[in-house]
Amino acid sequence: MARQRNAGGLIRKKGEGLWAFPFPCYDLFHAIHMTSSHAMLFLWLTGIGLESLLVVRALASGWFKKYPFFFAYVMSVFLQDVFFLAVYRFHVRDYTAFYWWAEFFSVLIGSAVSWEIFRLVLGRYPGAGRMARNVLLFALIMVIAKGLAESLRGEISWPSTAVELERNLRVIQAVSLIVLAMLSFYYVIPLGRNVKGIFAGYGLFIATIVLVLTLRASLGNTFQASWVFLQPLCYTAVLVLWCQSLWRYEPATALEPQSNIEEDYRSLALATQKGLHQTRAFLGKSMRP
Amino acid sequence: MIGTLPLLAIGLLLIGLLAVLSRRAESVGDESFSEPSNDSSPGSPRFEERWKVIVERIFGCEDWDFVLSQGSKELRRLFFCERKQIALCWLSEIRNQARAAMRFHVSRARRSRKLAALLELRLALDYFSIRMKCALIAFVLLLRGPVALRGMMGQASHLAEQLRGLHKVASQTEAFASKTTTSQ
Repeated sequence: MARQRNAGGLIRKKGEGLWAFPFPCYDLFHAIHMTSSHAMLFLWLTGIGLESLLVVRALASGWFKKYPFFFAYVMSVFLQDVFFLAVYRFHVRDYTAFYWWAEFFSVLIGSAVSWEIFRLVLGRYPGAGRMARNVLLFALIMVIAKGLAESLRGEISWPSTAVELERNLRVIQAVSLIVLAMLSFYYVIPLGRNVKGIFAGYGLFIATIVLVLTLRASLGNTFQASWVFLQPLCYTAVLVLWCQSLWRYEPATALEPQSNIEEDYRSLALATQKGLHQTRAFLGKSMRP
Repeated sequence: MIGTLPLLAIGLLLIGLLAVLSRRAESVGDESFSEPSNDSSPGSPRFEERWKVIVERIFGCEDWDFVLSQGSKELRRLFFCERKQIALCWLSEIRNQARAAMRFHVSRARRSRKLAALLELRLALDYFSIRMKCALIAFVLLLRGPVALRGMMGQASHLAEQLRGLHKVASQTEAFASKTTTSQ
């Protein structure tokens, strides 16, 4: 994840097919040239510093037991960052290959973090959780069906570069986080400081990746210079947010006593239906002169 | 596979939602939904009677015609300003009641395992249509004053009836909730 900051000029977008993955044609020397500035190195080291601080705080305050996937994610990013710094310093020719393997490992473990955020936010609200799964499934089926139909008609091509492939995977995560944010907003679900921080930070990270990769894929090299600088900057902001919200373990506030809600909801559903019919009748009346 | 603009919209929407979510205050317990006294509860005949009188008074042309007949510009201006304030207060009351009813429903329903997505969606749409109508009426009020709303009075009454529908739902839920709490 954090190596994206150094991935600035990695892809030359000239019809490298999916089959070439994960070793597409990279403009590596351009990337090295762009990322060798002091500012980039400073951002890289700041990232490693903040990540190590986060790991230390996780161990000291004990939240790593409560959010295991998130902790594994931070840990893996931290280790990868240190490893990539060494590769960049001593085996720069292998950097590109390592970069894309690690990148897709990050996407994979990032999906586990998304799942953990879902569990943390909706775990105590099974009905809302089921609703989120259904909405997501529906959205995914719609997107895949549309993509397949357009692809079969030859209107669009499949992701031709790793940038587009990664962007599409991140978009799926972004959509799932949008659904989650809407549900937690609508149902006024209490999140707690830690979960709110993880959610906001990871969501911000995914949103900026989607924006940056979309602009990179559509604008190409003109966006290159901004890409290598914007992405690490956003990632550093996310790390600061995580450090602030995860400084100490703070669980979500306890829920109200459980009532026999299932019976309530059955009755509520009937009452709601009645109310809705009534409302529709009033609306019908208001349409008439 | 997917266009650039929708992807940018997805990214920006996520950032916007997270900003709203981060600023939101934490709430754990059920939102308090005070049950009004019998006389002032939305379903009671006295309430409906008073409600009609208030709406007719605020948006009706009786007072306005009287003020016009006095011929004083200053009086007209004062009347216009005050009536606009009263109408806005009335509208804000409707909005608050709708919000309270909706929060009550949500705070009760969110723990259920059997949430029906379509039903919830329809209730949410009803609530947002009330909010939209309130916004529209407020816009006309601010722009032209309550007198211009005379034509919309019928619509305002329907809005109130819609609200009563929501209150009815919320009141029934309250009754069920208290029943189950005491049975534990």
